[in-house]
Amino acid sequence: MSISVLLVDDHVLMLMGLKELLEKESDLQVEDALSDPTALASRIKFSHPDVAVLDVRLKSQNGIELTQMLKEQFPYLKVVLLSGYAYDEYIEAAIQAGADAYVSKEKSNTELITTIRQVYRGKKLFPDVHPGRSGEALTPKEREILALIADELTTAEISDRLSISKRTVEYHIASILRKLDADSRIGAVVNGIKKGLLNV
Amino acid sequence: MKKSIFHYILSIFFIVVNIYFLLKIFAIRTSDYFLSQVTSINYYYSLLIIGFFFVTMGFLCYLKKTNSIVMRTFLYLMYSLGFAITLSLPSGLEISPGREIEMIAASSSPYFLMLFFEYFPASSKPKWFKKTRSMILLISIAINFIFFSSYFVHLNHHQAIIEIVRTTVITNIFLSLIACIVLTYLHLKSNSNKVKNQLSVLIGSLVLSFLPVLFFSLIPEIFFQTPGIPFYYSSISISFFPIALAYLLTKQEIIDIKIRLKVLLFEAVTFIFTFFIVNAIFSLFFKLDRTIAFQISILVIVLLLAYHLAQKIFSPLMIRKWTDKAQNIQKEKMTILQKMLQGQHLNSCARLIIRLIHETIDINGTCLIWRVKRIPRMLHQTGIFESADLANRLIHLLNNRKYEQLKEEKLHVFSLGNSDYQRGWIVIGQKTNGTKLEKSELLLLEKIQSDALELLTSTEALSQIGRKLRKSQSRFLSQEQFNRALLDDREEEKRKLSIFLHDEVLQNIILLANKVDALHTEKMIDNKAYLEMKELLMNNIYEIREMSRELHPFMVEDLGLEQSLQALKRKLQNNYNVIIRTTFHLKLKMISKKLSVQVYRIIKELLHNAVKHSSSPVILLSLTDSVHFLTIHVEDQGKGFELPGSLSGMTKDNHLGLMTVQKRVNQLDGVFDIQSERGRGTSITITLPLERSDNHEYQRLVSR
Repeated sequence: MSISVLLVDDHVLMLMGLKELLEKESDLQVEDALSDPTALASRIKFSHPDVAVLDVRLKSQNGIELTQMLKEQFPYLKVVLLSGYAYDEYIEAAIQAGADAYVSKEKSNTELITTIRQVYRGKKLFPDVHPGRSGEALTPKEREILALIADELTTAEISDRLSISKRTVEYHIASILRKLDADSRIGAVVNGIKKGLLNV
Repeated sequence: MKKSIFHYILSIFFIVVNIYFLLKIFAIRTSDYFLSQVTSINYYYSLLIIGFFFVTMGFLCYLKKTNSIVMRTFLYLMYSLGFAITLSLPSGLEISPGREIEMIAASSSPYFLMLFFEYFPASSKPKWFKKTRSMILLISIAINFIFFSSYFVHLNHHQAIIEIVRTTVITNIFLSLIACIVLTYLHLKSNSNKVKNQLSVLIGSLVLSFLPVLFFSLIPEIFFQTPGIPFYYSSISISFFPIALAYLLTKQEIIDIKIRLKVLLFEAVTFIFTFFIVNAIFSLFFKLDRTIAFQISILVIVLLLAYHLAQKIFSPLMIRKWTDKAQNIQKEKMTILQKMLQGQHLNSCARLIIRLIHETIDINGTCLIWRVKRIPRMLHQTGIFESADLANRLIHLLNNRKYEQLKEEKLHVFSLGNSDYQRGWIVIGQKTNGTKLEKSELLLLEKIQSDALELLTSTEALSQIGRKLRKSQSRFLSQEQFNRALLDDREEEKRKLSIFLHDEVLQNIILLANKVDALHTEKMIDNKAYLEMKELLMNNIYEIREMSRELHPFMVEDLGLEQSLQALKRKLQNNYNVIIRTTFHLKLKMISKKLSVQVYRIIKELLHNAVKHSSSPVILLSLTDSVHFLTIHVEDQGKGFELPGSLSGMTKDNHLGLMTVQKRVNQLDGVFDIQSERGRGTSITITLPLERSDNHEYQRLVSR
């Protein structure tokens, strides 16, 4: 028995790409691919898909509000939100709207496929945007960056100093904050000193 | 049309039925049967009058506002009450069909009462009221059903049925009365002054109408078994009720009853007091018979009342004349002022100068010519110069500087201005007694000449300045408008660019990254190249996303202000050595999307400013909303700076960010308040009005 999927994305190229990708899988069947969500409800009533994959930002509508509406009208429909934003706030809003999963667009396509399968089985999947876990040891790179933070360098300056991209620096800092149980750089430095990771 | 015909039929029906009963009763007015029921026919007359009064009041109100639903329900109420009143005696005397009609009228009146109260006073009614209304309607229908069905089984004169019907009708009336009283009580407790006023008039009229009946007729008769004042005297007081209601309904807007009553009460008390004093003093000097004294007093009261009334009628007529004149003067003043504003000071100035000349010497005419835009023009003229012929010739001669010819005509010319350029002339005719101008008179005229020149030039300068001021004012306004439009446009451009970056460029790169992924899994590219490409692509995705976010904060539109500010806070705390303490006191107030975006931008600018310039480790941010305002407060304990004296000073000192915030706040009609001192940190408070007309709410404008 195959899983029937409905795709909604107002970016037509993306929509076609996704459709092609999902149709390669034997257990997935793309029932409908819509670039305009206005007729969404009637199409769902007509084709009864198991899983709906929605883009978070649609031209005419907000994907999060759309999820809320779909969940109210069709409680058995599973909703996977596809997004270019991997921000905590969007993920939180998606959880509150009742979505079953949230997949970041730049993640590999296989992740989307496995997510669809797991969601179909009743699982809820949300990315853990924060790298690292509280109490985990810092990597050497992270210790180096922590030292630079303690020297009051901004992210841009650290990126220059270490010749790595700003994105990587931000990623490392987020990881450091998580590992040191802090919600700001200052808190991270204080905790780092407490743990003996920094020389005062 | 149909409705009004229906109402006319109703009224005719009422009249016909009552005339029928009147004739019937009039025929038996001396019979024992009739007199066993009532003492005299006057009783019936009083009932008829009251009933007619009710119905006519209803109709009058209805005719005044035919389309008002309140009026219609009022008419129904009055109609049913009127019928019930006029038919009470015929039904008691068993004159058919008196009982039947009375039955319908009496049983339907509580329903109409409820219906009327539902629309009056104009305010929302609780749910239970509607439910009670429908219940009362049901009961009255049921009673009617029982009553009329008893005819078919010939039980209509059975005592038990009559008793049942009567008690249910009375309980129904009581029920509706209680419901209305409760409703009135509730309204009095919590409502606007207007509704309260209407209700107090209503209650007052009820008390005035029915208390006398209760105290003088009903209570003595029922409890003490003594005959009270005959019922027909009470008809006067009962008529208060429909009068008051009619007044309420037709006037709609009523004056504040309490204030009016206070004045009236005070007047009445003083009147009674003086009346008694005067009477007492009078009785000291004259020994009058009591009846005569009484008659004189009444005469005085009537006289006073008549005087008062007459004054009320005539005083508006008097006042109107006066106000008419005052209005004329006001109008004249306005036209003069308007002329002044249009730069016509010169003419009035000239008029003043010429009047002065006439007051100084007795001459047969004078005129003042002034160059307006280099062309000589007659500003004001009197006497001989009022003929157009002479005036034109004069201007021609003056233009060609032929003063000798003027002298021949025995005219005196006083030129205004220096010898190079003549700005104007004052030309004076002959003295009325035909003599030459005396030396002293010439001196005086020369004095006037120099004064006039000064006065006229300064007036001209003044009007020119005024014109310039108005011009630059309008230019400034259009500039301001243009600036606003520019700011709006910039915002829109940014938004479009942001959408383009996010929805086009970014999506394509993500697609590319996914393709690269797919190629890698199919082993089409080797590992090292894949990782390098992937890193580059991811960095690009990141940069574009940051730029798109920088250009337009879409998160605010999607998730709201508070969530977006939390994200901003996290980002700042990750990237700078700073702690941001936030407090949000946002109640359920809906802040429009456009305002939210603006507020977000303002806060972002202020926070970035504080992070970059203050080097304070802690920044406080609070966002509070009240009924009409949203207050943003950003505070740091950092370096601070000396506040420049003006807005332009801000640009000099590289506070462009703050200046844009200030501009933006101005644009939103808000108030920007900044306090800063070197070494003491900076505190900025911004208050924005919430209820701005937001007619051009952002629409998703995507060009594809």
